[in-house]
Amino acid sequence: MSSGLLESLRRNIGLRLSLMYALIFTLSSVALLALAYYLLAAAVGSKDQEVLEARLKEAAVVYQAGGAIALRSWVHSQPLEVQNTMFVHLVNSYNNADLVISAPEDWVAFKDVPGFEGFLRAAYLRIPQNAERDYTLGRVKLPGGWVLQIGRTTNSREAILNPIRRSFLVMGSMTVVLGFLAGAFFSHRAMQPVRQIVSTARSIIRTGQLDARVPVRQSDDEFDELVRLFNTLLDKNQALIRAMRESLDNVAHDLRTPLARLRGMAETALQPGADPAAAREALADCLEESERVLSMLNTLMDITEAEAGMMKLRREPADLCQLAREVVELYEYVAEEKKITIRTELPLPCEAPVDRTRMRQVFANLLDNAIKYTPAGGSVTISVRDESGRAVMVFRDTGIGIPIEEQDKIWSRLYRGDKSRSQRGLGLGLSLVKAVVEAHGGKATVTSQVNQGSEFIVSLPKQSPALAA
Amino acid sequence: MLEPMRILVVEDDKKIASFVVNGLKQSGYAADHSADGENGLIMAQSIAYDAAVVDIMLPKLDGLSLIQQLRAKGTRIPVLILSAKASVDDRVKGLQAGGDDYLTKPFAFSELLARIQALIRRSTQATEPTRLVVGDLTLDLLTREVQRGDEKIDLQPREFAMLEYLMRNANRTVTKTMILEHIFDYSFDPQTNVVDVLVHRLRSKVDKDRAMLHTIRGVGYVLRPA
Repeated sequence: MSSGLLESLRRNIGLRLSLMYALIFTLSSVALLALAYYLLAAAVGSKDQEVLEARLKEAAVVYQAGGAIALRSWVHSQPLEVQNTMFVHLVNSYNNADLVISAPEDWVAFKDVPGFEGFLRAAYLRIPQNAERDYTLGRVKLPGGWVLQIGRTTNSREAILNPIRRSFLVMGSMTVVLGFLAGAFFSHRAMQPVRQIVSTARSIIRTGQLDARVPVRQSDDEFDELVRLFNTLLDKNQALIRAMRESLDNVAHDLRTPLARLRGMAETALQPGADPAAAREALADCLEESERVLSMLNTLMDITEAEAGMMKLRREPADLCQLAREVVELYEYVAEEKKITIRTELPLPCEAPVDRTRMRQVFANLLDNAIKYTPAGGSVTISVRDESGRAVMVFRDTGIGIPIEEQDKIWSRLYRGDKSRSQRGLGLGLSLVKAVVEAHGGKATVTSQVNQGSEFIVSLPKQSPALAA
Repeated sequence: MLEPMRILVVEDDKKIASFVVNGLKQSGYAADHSADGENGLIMAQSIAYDAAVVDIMLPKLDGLSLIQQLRAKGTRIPVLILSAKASVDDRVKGLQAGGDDYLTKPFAFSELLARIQALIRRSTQATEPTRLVVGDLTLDLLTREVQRGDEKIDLQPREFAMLEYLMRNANRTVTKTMILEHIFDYSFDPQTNVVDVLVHRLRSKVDKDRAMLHTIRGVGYVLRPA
């Protein structure tokens, strides 16, 4: 039982927090109340003593003027309620004389005032009897060995302090209960996001449904941030898994065709009585086809990674114009063969934080595309411009153009326009361009007119974006 | 006669291993095979191999650890890493572990062979020639002059680089990937075959009769004396 409680205490932060909260609340309120009570009691006590002291002085004067008889008549001259609560006692230590001048009924019990003689200096003695009755004695030395004792009931002290004590007790216990409840309430509230995260995670693990999210409270505190980060994490995971599923579907679908071709070629080569030269030819076809499959697989992986935000980019400041010139060099001979002029309008170095290899691949794909769809005698122009913090590269060609209705589709994977089917290619080049550019925080767009030419525009941020949360 | 170069192949896939071992033997090398990392490490330490081909995913002891342990013991044998992982990070990891070169699966055997030969050449510190000769084709690395028979040929820088690369690897097939990496410093495959175009131009200048520069379909190119 107790070990179960301890265990749940160890495991339940909320309970632990509220217990601690209640404990601290209790200790501090007990200390506060005790101090208040002590101060109050001291104040009441000193008031009692003041009254007693005044009486002692007066009685001493009366005694010195007229002796015990005068003292007795002084007592009788006091108001009745004072007489009934006042104890007057003369003691002589030399001859053991003991003269009680006035004694209220209940004082008789301790006429002797045990031990009071022994107090040489202490002038006051408090004699608490019980909750209702309380007495205080004072004394003063008189000439001739006489000691005058005057006592008075200080029941009022208890009468004042008792209800205070009682209300302090009530207040104290209420504070403790309140402290515990408030602690429990606040810690429960504070732990709410944690419980929600736990239950969300549980439900995802149990059901495998990835679209569960933790509700956000819009309070902008640390827990809210935790919840937001947790949700972002879930979003990213979900996007990644969705992208992986989709690309797996795509890959499975797109590999079937080339694999069927591969299979067909291999079967041709294995035909009984096949001509060795034809068999060799078929094997070479197989190799070429397998190269194509591999290249398609790699590109699909790249696109998927870039789209899912998982592509590792080694971003460093690079001159985009230089990268473009390198790509032009790569395609120089290809363009010459096709009798296409490549013009560059790259006047100034244009620096942007990019992954050089990836950006060269982007530019190469765009230039490749432009050359492919531009008839002989045409031209491709690469230019750069600076647009409020963005570097904009433009690939303009005088090619066949893209019909309006196809302009959105050219970016999707494996989409090939009617006119592009005859061209060699995977139908992945522009998807990769878009995915890589967007992974850099940039944008790839196209404007085109059929038979006039197309303009592909890549705009890249010139500042590396701060790591987005 | 000179003892053949001996190469260790550590690869757990039986088909790939036998394809590599047989290919090496056909090319005049002696080749030993180990199917797991532990055994491979023992073999590498007991025989003075001229080079090793090591797969990364291996039973018992993975390839990277194998290379690290070899290097820790001071063995300087050139190592070519074989891996199905193609990312730059994996390459860097492999080279940091002590590998000398990295080849991604699937690969063309001719590329594997060319890379092994390059590794052995580097480790034996063969002296650098200043003139390359293949058949009646000569290329002077100092004057940058190219001659076929008596005819002087003018080449553009990239064509020259390509011819130099083919001549250094005469009689060996070089793949398109190797040419892209070597001549264009490109680690990806452009869609249009820029290598085809370059070879086509080179052929029209130095090999009009198509007797020396041959295309091996689906694999790459080879330069042989006519």
